[in-house]
Amino acid sequence: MNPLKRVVYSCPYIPAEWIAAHGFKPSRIFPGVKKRIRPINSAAGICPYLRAFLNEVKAEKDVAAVLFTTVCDQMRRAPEIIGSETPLPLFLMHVPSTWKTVEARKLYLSQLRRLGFFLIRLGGAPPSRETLCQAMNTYDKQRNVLRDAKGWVHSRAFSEAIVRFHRTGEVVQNTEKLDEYNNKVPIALIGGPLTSQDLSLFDVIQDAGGNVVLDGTETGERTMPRKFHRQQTHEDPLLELTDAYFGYIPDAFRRPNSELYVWMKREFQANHVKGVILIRNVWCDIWHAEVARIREWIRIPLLDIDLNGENPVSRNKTRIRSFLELL
Amino acid sequence: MKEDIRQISLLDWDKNYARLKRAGLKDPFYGGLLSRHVKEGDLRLLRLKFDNSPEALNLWNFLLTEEERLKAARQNGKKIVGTMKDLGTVPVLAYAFSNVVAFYPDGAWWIPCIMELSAGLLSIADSIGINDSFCPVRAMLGAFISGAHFPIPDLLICSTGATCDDFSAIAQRLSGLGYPIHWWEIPHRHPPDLGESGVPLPGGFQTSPALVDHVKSELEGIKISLEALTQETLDEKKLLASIEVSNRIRKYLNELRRLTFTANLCPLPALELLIAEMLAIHFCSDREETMHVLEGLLYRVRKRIATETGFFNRDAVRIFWVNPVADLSVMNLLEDCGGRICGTEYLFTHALDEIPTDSPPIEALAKMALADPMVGSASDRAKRICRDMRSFGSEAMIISKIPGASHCALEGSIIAEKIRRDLNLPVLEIEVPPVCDSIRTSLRTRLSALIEIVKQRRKN
Repeated sequence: MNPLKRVVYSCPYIPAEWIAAHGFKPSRIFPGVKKRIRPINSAAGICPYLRAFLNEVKAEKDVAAVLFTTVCDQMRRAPEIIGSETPLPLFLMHVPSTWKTVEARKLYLSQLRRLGFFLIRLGGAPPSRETLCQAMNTYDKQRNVLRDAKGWVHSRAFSEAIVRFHRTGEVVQNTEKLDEYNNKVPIALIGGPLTSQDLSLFDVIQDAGGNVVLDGTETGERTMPRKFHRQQTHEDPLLELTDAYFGYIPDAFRRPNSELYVWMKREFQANHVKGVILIRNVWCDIWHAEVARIREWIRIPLLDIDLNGENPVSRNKTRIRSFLELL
Repeated sequence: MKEDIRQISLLDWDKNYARLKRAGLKDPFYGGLLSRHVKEGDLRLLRLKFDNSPEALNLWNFLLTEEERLKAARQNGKKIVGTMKDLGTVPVLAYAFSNVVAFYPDGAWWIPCIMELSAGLLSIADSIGINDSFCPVRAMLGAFISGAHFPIPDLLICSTGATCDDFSAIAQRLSGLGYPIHWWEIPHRHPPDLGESGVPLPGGFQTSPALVDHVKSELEGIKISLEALTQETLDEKKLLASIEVSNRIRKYLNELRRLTFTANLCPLPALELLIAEMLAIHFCSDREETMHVLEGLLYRVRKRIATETGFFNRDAVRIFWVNPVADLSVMNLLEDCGGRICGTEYLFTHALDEIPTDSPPIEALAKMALADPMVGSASDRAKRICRDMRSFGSEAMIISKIPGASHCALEGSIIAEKIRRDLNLPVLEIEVPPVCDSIRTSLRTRLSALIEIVKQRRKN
């Protein structure tokens, strides 16, 4: 087993600690924009994020396996699309949409165990309780460092730090001086996953007089698990992992998705949010269906932006400026 | 005397009906002139072509009077259960209770077609942020908000998990509007893991025992909700009885399909067979009458086969059709172009397979739910389609994409590739909106081209 081998994925409900405890390097990748045409081209109905992710997977080096989950229909079918294009072992984990029942948690836990067996077959080591605890403590500490950095660094730098942490497991301390943002309009982002070119939207927002005080996209702080409870981690680390990830991370795909609204209420208040930008990928029905409901519910201005896999700045610069002028 | 077999228009049906009445036709309680439904707003009937048999008349009247039956059920104090997405499992459970009628609000997806958009359901959906980038099942939202099509159910039960995103999102929107939903999880079906003994499912799939156990628990939860609603306890005996009735209906349907797909001359047109298959899902809110309707169709089909009579030419191209169409008139169009349906996969083949009787009933229903072709991989779905195409002698496949449906973007190519590779048969992908009048010409061209290709291949 080569400890340098990475296991790549994109879903926030896959615990990095679980992968690490099996002796692999977890790498939640952040797709860039690749010029490849295979494995899938741009076509009506195909999610641009899915396309970017699959193209990124093909370009990655030192990968032991690729993990997918069922949080959306397109990702659920992704292993079949890429299966003939890559020799890499692929694994599809079912992440339940329901979350309120004991049965849902049991299903998630059983799927984690299934993932564990897959990693062992790949050459990983069955994790002892101590190994898993250690991985959880390491990641928890790093996430705490990351959380502490919020408000001290540029909002784009904070989101980039989160992305880097998910990809590498490391938090890079940013020494860049934070500009004053007192006169900037506090903006929350909410929505699906971003690719690297979408981060330019942070600059557009800043140039237009806003400051992203909350990155609630799938690639931002919304999808970090909660802090682990020390005693529970010691007593039953896998159950604690389940609770911290599956029991905590809110998302639009959950049924019901009421926890997302609880999270938004709490975080919008805590961050004094004055405007919300909902960012979704074209063809993402899950987030698209929430636009009207969130707009009705939040009672602060909302701007709906869709991403089509191209550079988002030219399509959205004017809209963002107008939105911020209104605020 | 040889039967006069023809496809006729709605106006011809009025004349035909008068003739049948003179000859002694006895209407069921929902029977009568087909044209009365046009007065109620079902305008599309004016553009369709129908099988001219009294059994087909019963089928159409039965389908088009479902809303009346639901309203009558409400007035008579029955509990109305709206089951969503699972397409065939929960109604078997629901009908085991003595005072319940179950139906699929999903069926509202056809209202925009049947009423030619006059009901405004899609506009209502637009107004609450669910526009035409979503599947036409968004009409369901309009139906709930307007309250004009079916009584609001006493309980809504919706499957989620390994289901299509747009339906899940639409159902969540419904819940967000204040309609509480009992959600239940159907996990993505995967084969048994290494070292695990597989559980055989109807339809030929295998899966992990852990998934069967999970779905069993979910169905137990639904049972508890139904018991709370009805104040009736459900025991195994009642559930077994319900399964038995469902299996009888499935047997009729399978026989109807087998006879229709394999006959030399088409004994039942595509549209009537599509409607008949839909009865399997929730029995059109009346299980007993579903059986009578299917018995009638079977009688007619057997008679036509025995007398070597039927529709279209003997050289009509045998088409396997994948996915239901949002606009029913496309089934007529296929036949106008020289095709006939010899095989179908309308997203619910698991509702056509007989429910296992060698397992405890809840476990049997769990297996059935997991046999849903949409719950597993597109490759699995394609394997079953391949098997059926061989069995029915299909010569080509048409995949009818549903506009806005999240699964259609990717799975069509997976299924098409398998058919081309394994069977070396031509495949056509088309997209059919709720009213296809504006693209009818191009659809006709594409269907005709496929028919020509098959006929050329026959010569070669």
